[in-house]
Formats: sequence, structure tokens, C-alpha cells
Amino acid sequence: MQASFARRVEALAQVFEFTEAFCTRHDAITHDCALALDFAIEELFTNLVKYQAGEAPVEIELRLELAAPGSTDSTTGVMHLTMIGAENGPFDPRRAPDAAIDRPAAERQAGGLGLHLVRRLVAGLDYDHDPHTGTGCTRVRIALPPAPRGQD
Amino acid sequence: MFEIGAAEDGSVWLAGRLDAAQAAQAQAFLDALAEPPRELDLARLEYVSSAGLGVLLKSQKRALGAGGGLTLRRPSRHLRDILRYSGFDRIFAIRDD
Repeated sequence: MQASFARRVEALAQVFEFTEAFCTRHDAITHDCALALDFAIEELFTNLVKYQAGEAPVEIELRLELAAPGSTDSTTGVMHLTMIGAENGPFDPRRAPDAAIDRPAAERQAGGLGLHLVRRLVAGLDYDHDPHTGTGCTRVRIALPPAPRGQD
Repeated sequence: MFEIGAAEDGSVWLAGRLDAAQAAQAQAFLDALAEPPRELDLARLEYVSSAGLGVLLKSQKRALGAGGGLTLRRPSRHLRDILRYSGFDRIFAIRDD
């Protein structure tokens, strides 16, 4: 599934309708995996809205890759999220610093938590920036858990 | 959809999805309370993003500044993971009852 979304926070409702439509089409996607997908999409999308100027829409593609029947993989499959958007300059989400989570509340800042958490909720995160088009492409992989016993 | 309200016991409940588009509504509700709540009931909160965590953090700072502290009650398994990964389990009391 693929769609483009206006580059504004208010478009999140449409983004989540899109992810819900995708997840409900696939029984293998558990509720927790769907929430992890929403989290990754929201953090990456709002980063584009907040930190990258311009009004060009953001392209989002979702794809499900199921493990082959009889596979010995530890997962039942992988969700692939690709997000493409114009950028002022490269911003690699893999290189954003972790949040300082061991500080007391008075010293904590909310900023920086988003990508910190995305990196812990997903199985893989990749990024490319095309300097010719000024476009960034972030790819996320979310592993689906093993099927319950008796269903594999 | 996101909803927030105050219970008769003085706690505040949150329900639905607390994302970046809803964070301002949640913050405005909590800021408008005469005194910071002691407990946030998360039993019906399905989803929270970093914007929502920012609301919880600001409320905790306000509660600590008033000599108290916030307890987060009944988070789901997914929310518990988010709270642990973000280190919020170190700065909030969390209860399952």
C-alpha cells in the first residue's frame, strides 16, 4: 500500500487510517506490532513536519513480507515501512543521540525520546539521502512475533 | 480518538490515542487543574507517542514542584514497554491495580 500525506501534524489522523487499513488486511500483524508501526510512523512523520521546511507531501509505503510456510525463522514475517520526503539536508535517524533516560525528572527533556524509542521498537532502520533530489528515504523493519503454538 | 477527564477521586483518566495531534488538548486539560493530580489512570489509553510522553513529563515536573508526584496506573503491556524504554519507570511510580 502506498499513499502521500500533507506535511502537517493534522494529517496524522489520515496516516493512522492508512496504517489501520493495512494492518486489518493482514491477520499476522498483532496489535502490539500495529502500535509499534504507528509509533515509528508518527515519530518519523512529525520529524519531517517539524524540522524539514517545505510543503511537499510525504510518501509512505507499507509492505508485509511473510515467512515461507515451514520456515524455521523466529518470526512469522516482517512489516516494511518506507517514508520518503523532501529535506533541507540529510538527517539520519540512526545517528540521533539516545535520550538521557537515567536523569531525574527535573533534568529530563521530552525532546529526543521519539527516535530513541523507535530504535528500540523496530527490528531495523535504514536511511538514504539523495542530494540531487533533496529527498530523504527512511526504511523501517518491524518483525512479527512467532505464531502461537499449533498455528504454525 | 483521545479523551481525558477527571474522576471523582481526584485522579485523571486518559483514553484512546495520545499522539502529536492530541498532546496540546491533554496538556491544556492538565494545566487547567487547580492542583496537579496525584494519579493518571492509563487503563484505557491505547497508544502514546513521544509527544504524549512530553505531556506526562511536564505534569510530573509540576507535581514534583508542588511537593507531590504522579503515579501512573494500569498501563497496558505496550505502554509499559514504552515507559521502560524511555526511562519513565524510574521517574514515575507505576501501579497495576
